[in-house]
Amino acid sequence: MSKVNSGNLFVFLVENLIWVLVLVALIVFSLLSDKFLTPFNMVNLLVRVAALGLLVIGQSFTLITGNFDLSSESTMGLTAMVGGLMIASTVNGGLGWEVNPLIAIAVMIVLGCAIGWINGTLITKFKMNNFIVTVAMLMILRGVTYAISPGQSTSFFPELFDFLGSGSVMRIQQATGRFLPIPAAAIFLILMFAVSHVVTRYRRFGRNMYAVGSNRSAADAAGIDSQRVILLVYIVSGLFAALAGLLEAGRMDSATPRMGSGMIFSVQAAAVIGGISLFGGRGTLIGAFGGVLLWGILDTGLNMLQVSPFWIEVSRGLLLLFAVFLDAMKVRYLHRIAVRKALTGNTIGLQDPVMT
Amino acid sequence: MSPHVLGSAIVQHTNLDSRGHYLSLGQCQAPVFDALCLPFVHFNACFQSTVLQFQWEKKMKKVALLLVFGVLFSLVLSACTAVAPGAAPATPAAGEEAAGEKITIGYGAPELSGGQGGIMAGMELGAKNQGWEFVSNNANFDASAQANQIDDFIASGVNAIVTVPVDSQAICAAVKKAKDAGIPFYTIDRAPIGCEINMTVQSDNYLAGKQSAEAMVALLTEKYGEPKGTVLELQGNLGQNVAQLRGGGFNDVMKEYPNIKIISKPTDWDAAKFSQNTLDVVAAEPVDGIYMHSDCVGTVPVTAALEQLGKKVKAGEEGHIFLAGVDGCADALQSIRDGYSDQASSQPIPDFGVVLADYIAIEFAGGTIEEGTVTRKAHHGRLPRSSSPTLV
Repeated sequence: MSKVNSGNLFVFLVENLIWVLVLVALIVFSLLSDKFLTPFNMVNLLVRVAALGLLVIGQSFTLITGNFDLSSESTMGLTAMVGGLMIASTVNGGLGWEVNPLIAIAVMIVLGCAIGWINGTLITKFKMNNFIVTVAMLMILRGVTYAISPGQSTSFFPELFDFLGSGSVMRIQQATGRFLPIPAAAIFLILMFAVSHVVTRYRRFGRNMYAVGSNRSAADAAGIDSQRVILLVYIVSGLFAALAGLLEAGRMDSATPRMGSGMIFSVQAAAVIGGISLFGGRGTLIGAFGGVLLWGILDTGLNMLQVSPFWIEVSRGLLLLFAVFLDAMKVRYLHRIAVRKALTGNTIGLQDPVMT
Repeated sequence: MSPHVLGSAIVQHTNLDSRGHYLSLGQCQAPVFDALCLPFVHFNACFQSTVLQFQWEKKMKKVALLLVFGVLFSLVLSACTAVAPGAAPATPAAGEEAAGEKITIGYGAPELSGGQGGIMAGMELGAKNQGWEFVSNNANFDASAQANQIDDFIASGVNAIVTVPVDSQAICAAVKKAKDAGIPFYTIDRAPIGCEINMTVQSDNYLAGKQSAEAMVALLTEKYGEPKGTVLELQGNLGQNVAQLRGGGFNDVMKEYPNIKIISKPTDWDAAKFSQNTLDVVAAEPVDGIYMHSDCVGTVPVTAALEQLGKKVKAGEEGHIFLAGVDGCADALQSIRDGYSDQASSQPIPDFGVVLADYIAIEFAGGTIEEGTVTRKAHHGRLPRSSSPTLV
């Protein structure tokens, strides 16, 4: 009996390990640097991971259904560039249309969803391999971004367009008398994680996602339209990529043709570290949020400690390996429990030494 | 680091010949301060620069001229300090502030390959010269990562930020944050577009092109007795202003010599295209000289292509094709030593940071930088032969 408990405890710990790691990282870095655990830095941390976080949300939707969307970084770059071209003046690299920022934002979101729809349709309707489809899109969209820009940045956007990325919703007076702005990006990120957690956890669509990711044929047999679920998660991924593009363009006050380039590795890593399984069907958005935070804490902390950039890369790689190792352990453990249950459940009457 | 230490570095890396060849420091042109061909300081957008050029007398060309450019410049620097100790570094100014807390310079590199590593090393040396702490980051071509790293500099409270912007426009958001936090902002190699910073240091690519053109004219005049002939210009990526300036400087000089025919071919900085264009043009035309927008990229493929055509001939021998270029990379210098290349207009990459540190020190001390402010004095023009022994 006690063994069962310790087993469940193990699963519980592993499921929530990310928050233990986040806490440990926070403590370690604040001990190592007195500049680390300041309100400014903590708020800033959320802003710097905001675009990454939005991509992780989109990625988590696809990962939970057992798919992935490698093109999201290029979707982010393209939507940001399209938005930038529409609103920037010709002097600042735009087309000189200088449309209303809200129209530009709407176009970006529609474009993001449309790209997701194309991905999803190719994968579900045409039964094309999701890896190849999204890698092809990764290249195509990046190429299109360079072609339309052409190779130039657009910058200096209206304040309304920048609000999500660099605006602040309120200012808190600190003890020192200085005002700490609460950035819109930080609030938006938390809000989006909360909404997507509720959707994946407590709505039918979310439960269908997990069902499709765990066992697609079983889900189909249970009457779930898995094609539709997968199409939808790709659209969601495109949507969040567009939001990430909007946020990042606002934060930098410019859209560069390289924006997001190479980010997909961090996105996958943060999601996996946060407990989203690459095999589908497992992990929560709250965990993914922890993964994003840990990624940002490591980035900020190691930078501030003046660790060589090369070693920062190594530490991230090690962290990722550790996360995958835990995931594999978890799978093995759960598998063993399932086998035991199956054995004890059959008629031979063998008693499982652990389960009883 | 004292000039003497710089001097000893020269001993390690160079083999100066004392048999009478000389180094000529190209036309360190007017707007350059009263400094030797030293830096080229920009105030926000204004452009001046330093390009060091070296040539050697024809009759001496068989003398091995072993000079690595970076070391050459160190040598020049040492010369400056040696000649004019009065204008030595502004360390005392920094010392005053250091009384309270240690001064830290945060340096954001856009990437660390090629020349960028040299620029960062120069800034580190400059900071060390002033007795400052030096911390650095590498954005690896990613403008967002650079923005994050500058956030970290601001959060950790550095006294000044120096970057080579990944993106000239995107850097402005970070510049604004630094300004809000009251931290001075400087750039090297590239200037921001659309926002003001304290100062930027760049080399003058236009001057570099001009110097190569003047050298080419001199070589052609020597060959034919008058400026005439055919020159192949291997251009960089013309979408970038670096290539436009290197081409502009060259062609503005060449315009005045109607008997010199220029054939221009774009290469996009691609070694394969340097090679292909050389093969195509040299095979079809009586080319007398080749001007490369980047001798870093071009020297090896161009000489290999000439060899393929049977036209790789040493300077002074019948059929030699003059090779000139901008950058002054190791390959080009080796080719000069070997007798195949004739000229290089070089960038003082290792000294950008050293010089910038002097100006940062002035601002730390409460001073302002005016155009024409000189921090280091040195000789104009030719480096005197007599100074070599003291350096080596």
